[in-house]
Amino acid sequence: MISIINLILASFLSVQDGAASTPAKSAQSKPAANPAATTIAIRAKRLHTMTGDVLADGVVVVRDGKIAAVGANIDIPAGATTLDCEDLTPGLIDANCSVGQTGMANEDSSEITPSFRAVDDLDAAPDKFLTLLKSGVTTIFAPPGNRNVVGGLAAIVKTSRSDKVNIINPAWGIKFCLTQETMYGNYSVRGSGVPRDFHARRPQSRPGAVMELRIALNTAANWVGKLGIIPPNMKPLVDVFEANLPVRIHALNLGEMRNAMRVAKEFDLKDITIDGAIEAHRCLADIKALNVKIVLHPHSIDPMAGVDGNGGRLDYGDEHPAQDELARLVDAGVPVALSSYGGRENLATQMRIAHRYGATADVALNAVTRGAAELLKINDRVGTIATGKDADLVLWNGDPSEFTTAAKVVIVDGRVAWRDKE
Amino acid sequence: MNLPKKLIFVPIFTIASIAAVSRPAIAMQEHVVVKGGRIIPVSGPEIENGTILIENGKIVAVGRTVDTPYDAKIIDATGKVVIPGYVDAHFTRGYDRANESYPFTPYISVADSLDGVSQDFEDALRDGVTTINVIHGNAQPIAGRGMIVRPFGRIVEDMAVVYDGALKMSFIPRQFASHVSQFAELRRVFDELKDYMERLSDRHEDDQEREKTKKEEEKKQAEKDGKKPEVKNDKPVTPKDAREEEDVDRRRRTLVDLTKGRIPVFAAVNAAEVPFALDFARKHGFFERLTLVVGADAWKVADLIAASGRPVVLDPELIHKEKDPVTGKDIETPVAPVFAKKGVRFALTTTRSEYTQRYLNTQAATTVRTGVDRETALKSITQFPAEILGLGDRVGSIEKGRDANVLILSGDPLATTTFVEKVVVEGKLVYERENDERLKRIINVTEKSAKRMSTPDSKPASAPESKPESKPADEHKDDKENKDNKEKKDGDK
Repeated sequence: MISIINLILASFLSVQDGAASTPAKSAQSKPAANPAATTIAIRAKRLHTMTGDVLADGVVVVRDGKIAAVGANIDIPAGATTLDCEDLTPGLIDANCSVGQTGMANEDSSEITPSFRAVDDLDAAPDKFLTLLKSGVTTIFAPPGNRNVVGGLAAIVKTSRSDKVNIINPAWGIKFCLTQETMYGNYSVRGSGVPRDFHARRPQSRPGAVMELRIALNTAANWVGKLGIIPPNMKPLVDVFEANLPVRIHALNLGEMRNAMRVAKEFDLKDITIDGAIEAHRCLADIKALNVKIVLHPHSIDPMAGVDGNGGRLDYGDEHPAQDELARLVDAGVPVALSSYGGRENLATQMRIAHRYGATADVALNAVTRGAAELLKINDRVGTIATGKDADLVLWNGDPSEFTTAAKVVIVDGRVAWRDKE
Repeated sequence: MNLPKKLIFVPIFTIASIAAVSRPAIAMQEHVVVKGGRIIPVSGPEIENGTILIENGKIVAVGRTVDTPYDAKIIDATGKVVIPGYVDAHFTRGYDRANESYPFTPYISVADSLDGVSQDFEDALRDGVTTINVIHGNAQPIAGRGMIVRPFGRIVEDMAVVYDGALKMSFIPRQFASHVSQFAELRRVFDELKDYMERLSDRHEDDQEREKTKKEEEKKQAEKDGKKPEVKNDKPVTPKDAREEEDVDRRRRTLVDLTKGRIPVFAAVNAAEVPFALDFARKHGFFERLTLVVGADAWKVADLIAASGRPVVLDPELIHKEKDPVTGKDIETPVAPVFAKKGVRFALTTTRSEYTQRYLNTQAATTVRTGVDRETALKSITQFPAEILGLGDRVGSIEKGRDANVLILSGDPLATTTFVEKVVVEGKLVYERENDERLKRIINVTEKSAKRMSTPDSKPASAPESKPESKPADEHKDDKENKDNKEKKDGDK
């Protein structure tokens, strides 16, 4: 029954897709090289479409970089390359990842740099994303660094190995940071009043970071509607008010999360995502009230993560973060995605840890595929296996929620981007 | 007549002594039975619904049909998985400092700095590690002696399984040292030891010579005096070597034992130091007792290690990462499969930092992911480290005659959702997850999350056919509905 529906749906969608795709969109989603000649058919023992039940013995047909057909009883087109696997999932989406950036994702000369674009820092060397591909990640959210209160514009790119960065969205939204990292290395100007270098800058305290953000947002709010006089570098901040540009706020602990939400409330920000969010379960009511989305980091779901470099334990005082944070947030109905936070441990590991501590295997997988795509508003292209979507697929040699499982083939935009040697 | 008296006396004494010894022994017979689980003995085939009979801390029977003594304390493992307690062959935590600042300290022992109440041992027990080789770090060429402990007891003497463990050496250049200076220092120390022993030997020869002359002179004198030479009942002469060793300076005694091959040695090496380390060990007599604690890049000399036949302890970083110096390309090499293919016996270890490197079972799962077979992976956290530590006949497998170190797991040892439910060490139940208050605090267990985490799917990691029921992973609206349903169900209960 499902397969019949899928078939009908497939034919319907493919017709619609051909008719409705705008030139701009197709230009953006065009795969890097010429995949037109390649048709790939993938047979999976378990097909995780993320749109419904897991299909047993499912088939996915990929043509021209897009998914042409999905279902259980699909004829494999003649001449198609056939691949077999145990489990087939959509390509994983890392909702916060700095792999591929050259390591200087901050413009230290000012604490407010709204026009800074992380995409300009992404290196297009073909093998830059190889480690990500190997672990099944096909799409990453690449934010600017954490040194500036207003860091700049974050990008969403694919990890395909091409000489050109495969960009989904070069300016997804603006990144704010309210953690201690904004003050590292700053010093105040005393005595002669002449700064030695540009590290004589604000903020130097946690309230200082919030103060800087308020000043910046106030300035931008005053420019709303005054197109002629907006300094070009402030335009993205004004867009937060004029065009509801999404806002990503980096806030780790409860205090920083409350600061972020307080500012969001004051300025009536509509589209906010908080990443870090170690203690999100302690302010669930506010998160719900403001429709905040959450991106969890490795240390948000693992209280013993060694991010302090000192014996491995973070000092949270009396409170530890909940290890079952993902399950709690999903239970509460908060849009939530997982992230590797710079690829320190890969995203599949994050999914597995979340599964270990309370989330069912499907909820955990959802948080790195469909859920993440919806949170990043790229679900029209990636996150599920459905007709017309980008053919970003991971072929696993077993249940992806197990630590013993490895990706065998990774397909990005209908082309095999990585395959293990066997 | 003396004889009959003796004959009567001896049997009476013997009977009395047997009674004296065996009566308390009978009273102390403690039987524990672990019943009903899927037993993974590691050294043999799995036993479905098996029983383990433990007597006085030792396993006396394993199998499907084992009679339960009437007085046995029963630990129910129905529906659970039973596996030998994990063995960590190289544990550099649980004390205040991993290394001294002076480079050569063979005369020290971690026994003096071991912190029995350290959180590290509590964590080890929680993670199912029942035998731990606590040993110094890699920052000294010759560090000191480690000790093998069980992670409970809180006092060094109670924790000790082997009090004087392996000597830790490091061929990796310490801070500010180069390979040249590190190797030169090591050579110097062993040359000095040789000189010292030669001097000691010379001194003994001189002493003996002097004694001999003295005796002869006495004899001559006696002959001159016309006396009969005194016949002395000479003590058997102590062998020369033994006499020398009696005189060895206490600080050098460990090194003398080392060169005689009497104590095991754990030597830290990276790929670059392996050839020197093997030669050095051959030259100085400890090759047969050598275990290499290898860095992540040592897979590059796996052939050399395989040819030497020495076992290795792998770095916690099981995937070696490096940058190609020419192309700048990131290269990742899974380490364990390289050694497994060459037939090198290896043990896995843990570190505090990254999640997957923190637990022996996730480390084993990582090796399976990268291509090691399941059996070898399980052995590399149980049987292999036990053998490397010289405890192969005591721990690391569930067999008759072994120490009763047994874990009761909620599911397959390599599965994501498996937790250690109970830990039995030498027949004693020392850990129960349901009573682990600190774990509850760490993972912030609410009633709901406790419920979620107590119902793992008990599928074996290597048999993915048995995929659990798959709920539509849907929008949050659906999750909300599910939650509502769940709550309703809760309410019904």
